[in-house]
Amino acid sequence: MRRLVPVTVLLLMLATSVTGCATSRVAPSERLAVMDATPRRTLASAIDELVARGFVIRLANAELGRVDAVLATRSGYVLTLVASPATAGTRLAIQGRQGGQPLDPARFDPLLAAIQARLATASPAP
Amino acid sequence: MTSGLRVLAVIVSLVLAGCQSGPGPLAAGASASLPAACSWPRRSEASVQTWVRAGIAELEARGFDIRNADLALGVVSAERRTRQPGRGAVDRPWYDGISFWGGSHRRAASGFGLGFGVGGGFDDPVQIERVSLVVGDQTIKLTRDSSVIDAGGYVLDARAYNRDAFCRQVSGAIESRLLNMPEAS
Repeated sequence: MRRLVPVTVLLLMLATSVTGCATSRVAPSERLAVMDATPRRTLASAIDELVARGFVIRLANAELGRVDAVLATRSGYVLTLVASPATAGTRLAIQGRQGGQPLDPARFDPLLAAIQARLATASPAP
Repeated sequence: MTSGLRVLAVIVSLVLAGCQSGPGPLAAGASASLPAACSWPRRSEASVQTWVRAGIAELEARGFDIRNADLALGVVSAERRTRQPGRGAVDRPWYDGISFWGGSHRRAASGFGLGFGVGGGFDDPVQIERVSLVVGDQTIKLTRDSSVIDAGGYVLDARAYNRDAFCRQVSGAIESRLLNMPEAS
């Protein structure tokens, strides 16, 4: 019986060390906001805001309603913005990763607010 | 508090201060302080299409590969890979490794071997510059970032890379290309 104790301890240590390795790849959740503008204007304002924050636009396609923005830092940012027409205005969805890990959707709120502010101040395009 | 503890506290706070990072680019009110040359007014009467054409031509002339272009939003995205000979090679040994082996039998013979490899780790790190040119209604904006990645995929350096001189050269070159470019009808 006494001989079993070190074995048990060793097994427990092994088990606890292995549990740290178990990862679940969480699908990045997105943040939604409805903008009072056309998809094209929404995306244009989003691009302006992203560029002002130093992001590099990797993909912009008005027909697809999609903008990808990246920024190389120690753990790089990758953002994906999708604009789709909603019943009133445009639905803008943002999701992103930082260093390969999904970003907390709450972190997109300042960005969405800034895009909304840009749309409010910009003169309505014809 | 003894003076020893106080000194320790100062050292600890100094060490921890190095870990502090500024607000990320997603924080409220965050703005990259772009150099003035990276954002310039759209003076010329040229259309977005002409601007995008000139931008593509100029970036390609500088060795960038165009990754995406959209006329409705007026965006050109490009990327350039440059080898960085010598960079990051400081910590790397010039040999792959040395191995010794040997053995002896009780009577007949004994042997000893030495082998070493040279080469292998000589792949240069690569700098990847990503750039986007945004043709807005009133202004043109150029943003760039840079990451340096070694042969093993390890990121040696990554940063926003908005440089005044680069933007001034590119903006000037695009404007002069616009003068020589026939307006697409």
